[in-house]
Amino acid sequence: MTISIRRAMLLLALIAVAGCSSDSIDSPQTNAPDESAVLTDFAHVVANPVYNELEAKAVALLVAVRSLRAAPTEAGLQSARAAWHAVRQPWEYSEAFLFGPVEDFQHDPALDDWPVNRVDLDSVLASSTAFNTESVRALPTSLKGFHALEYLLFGIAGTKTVEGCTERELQYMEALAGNIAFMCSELRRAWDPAFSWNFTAQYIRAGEGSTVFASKKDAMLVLVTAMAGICEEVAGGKMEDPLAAMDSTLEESQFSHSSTADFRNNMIGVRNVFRANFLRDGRGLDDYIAAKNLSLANRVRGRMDAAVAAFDGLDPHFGRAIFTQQSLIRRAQDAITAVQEILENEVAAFLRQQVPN
Amino acid sequence: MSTIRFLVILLVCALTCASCREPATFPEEQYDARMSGGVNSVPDVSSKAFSHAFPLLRSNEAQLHNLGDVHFEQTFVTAPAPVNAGLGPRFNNVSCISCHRNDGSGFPTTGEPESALLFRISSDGTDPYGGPRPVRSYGGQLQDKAIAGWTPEAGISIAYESRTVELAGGERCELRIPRYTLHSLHAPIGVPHRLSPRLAPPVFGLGLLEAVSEHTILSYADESDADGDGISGRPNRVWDAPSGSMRIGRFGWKANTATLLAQVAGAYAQDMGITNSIFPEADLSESGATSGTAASPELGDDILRAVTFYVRTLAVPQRRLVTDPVTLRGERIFWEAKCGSCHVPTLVTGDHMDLPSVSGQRIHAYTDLLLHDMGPELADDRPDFEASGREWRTAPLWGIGLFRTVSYPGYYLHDGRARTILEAILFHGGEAEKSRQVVERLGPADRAALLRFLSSL
Repeated sequence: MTISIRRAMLLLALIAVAGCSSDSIDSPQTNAPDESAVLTDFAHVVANPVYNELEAKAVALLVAVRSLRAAPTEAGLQSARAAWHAVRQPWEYSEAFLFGPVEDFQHDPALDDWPVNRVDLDSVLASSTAFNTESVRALPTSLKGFHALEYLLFGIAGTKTVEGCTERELQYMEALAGNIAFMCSELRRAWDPAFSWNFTAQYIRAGEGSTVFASKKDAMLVLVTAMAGICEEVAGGKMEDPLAAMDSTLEESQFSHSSTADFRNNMIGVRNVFRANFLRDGRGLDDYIAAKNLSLANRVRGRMDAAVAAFDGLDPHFGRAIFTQQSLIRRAQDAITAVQEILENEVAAFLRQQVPN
Repeated sequence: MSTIRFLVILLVCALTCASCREPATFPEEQYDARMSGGVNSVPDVSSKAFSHAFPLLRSNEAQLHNLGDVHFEQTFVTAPAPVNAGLGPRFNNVSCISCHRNDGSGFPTTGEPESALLFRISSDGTDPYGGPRPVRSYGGQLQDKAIAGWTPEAGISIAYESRTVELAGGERCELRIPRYTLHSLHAPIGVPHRLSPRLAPPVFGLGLLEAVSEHTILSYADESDADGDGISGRPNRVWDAPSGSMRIGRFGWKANTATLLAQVAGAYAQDMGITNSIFPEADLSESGATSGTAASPELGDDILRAVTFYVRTLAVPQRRLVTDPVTLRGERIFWEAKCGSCHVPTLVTGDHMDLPSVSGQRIHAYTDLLLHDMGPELADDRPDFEASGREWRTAPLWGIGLFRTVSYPGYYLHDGRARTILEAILFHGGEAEKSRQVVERLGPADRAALLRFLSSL
């Protein structure tokens, strides 16, 4: 009996030790990145590659729309639609770090304003105005960018057919796609270290000559603010508005029915930033935090994974899901809000305390 | 017996009175200098530094703030439309956020999608409330954009002339002075008119400024310069449409608006052409005209109140570098140059039962909310209620060090002519003439210290 008890206790102890994975130990990691490494890898592993991909996909969209205009076929329309979906993915990733040139030079509203001014768009199409990349640049934001092009490519409720595309619409689509490609190219170049003035240098040299960031702490906190900001916008606005009003006209990507994918990609973008992971793994905020507080790093990682996974099973057509999958939407919103809260409270506090001024 | 009872009562009264003290303030050094907005201060130096809610809002208040936040960013479109219908027909911009980038300032341009400079217009004389007199066919503000099928009221060209100021130590600073030209008028103006450019200002901390009592504002007024210091701040008294009464003005570059509700409702009506219950007509030039089949009014009161609450509850960024020796030296120079005579560092808000967050807060807005003569170079020569053509309200300085970060590249003064804080100082004239001269005579190190202090705000 005594031996049995001892064996049982030993077994329990072994189970307890085995159950203590490194995830639950609040102890430092070795080979922790310093602040410079985190800034460098955010710029080189996430920001630049995401904008490179955005530019490449935007150019592919322009090529597809040009082909459609040259030979309007149903297959061509489908290709252009696929190219539109493709460029949205890196754009949604990039929304997890909406700071720097994208906001300083007003690319965000010019690319992604919503809703589309359909009445004025119809008037512009009915006019004799010549369309080109430059003339579109001067138009109001509600007449250009991704969603104006989405409206023309997909039509209301995605019902557009190639027969429904007039020559004027095709001209306008090409000019819109050209303008999108131009702006995405500007964004990519603004970060590109190959140019004499580039935002990558401003970011990496935070506290060491940067005219934008007075300290590395500021530059690291900017990431937290940006990640939390998109979480708030997605859960509290883009998902909440149509759900609360039970109104599918409030869905952002309502013509292409791709809002669910947009939201999920926003959350993947947030995870990419936190982990400095896009195409390859870099030294991220998670590694920096893990060196001193592994528990916190892992809780953030876990919440971000959960926020991405929360979209599993959700109808891609968000405007329909608000009527049929409300509990799933609420679950996803809660998961995103949990990310926002831990970023704003614990991660921001950690960085304020731990990063030298 | 009755004598003893009387003595006991007297003793109790004496003891009670002895223990009753006026609530005292702490000595200056016991306050945290970082807390520019009192409890409503946030430690963010990013481009979102002006976009935080008061930290201590109750849950229902936070909900209302968030609703207002959503609508502050909403883009309006031409009616009929399922969402946000009613833009224009003439307008200056399509959303609040288009001009107030990141809840900060905007670009001093006109006619572009991102432009945030508008022009007030008036003819000689006053309206029935003593305010600027509207111009027939134009109303009180030029709308330089229009929906399809309409023409803008006018286009405005901006040309800059330059003037170089040489500072002690040899530094030269080039100032740019704007000249405005109207073109493409949609109708003859027909009468002598006056224009006043107004750049969209930051919108944080406004609830705290609104919470400062009129009594407190008036306590800083010195209309006849009785103390002989050359500074004669005076309040503007303006018509407040929501309450239907004359009030002390405190918002806008000339303090021509008394309340945030009037400010927000006026911006919807005049800047975006969105009618609302306070201003049921977009602008006098469009009396009776609406775009498409928009609802009337186009903005519901629930949204108007939510957006008003949003700007009322935007927190103030915390100060930085408050113990930095150079910053402290700059602060001393700020006082030596008498900048603080108008840019009053500290105000205490009144009691507000409806919004405890703004009650009794010791805030550091660096304004007296009063009008001051700023000299001929900044003058718009357009009276606005009691503000003369040379008078402007003391601009709050809190957050000024973050303008460049929040609304890159950062512009200063009522028309955005200044591109740096130093340029803004060098444009000061009138009552601020002597202060500007002190700054011009500062050595490079002292000038840098002053600018470091201002940038810490």
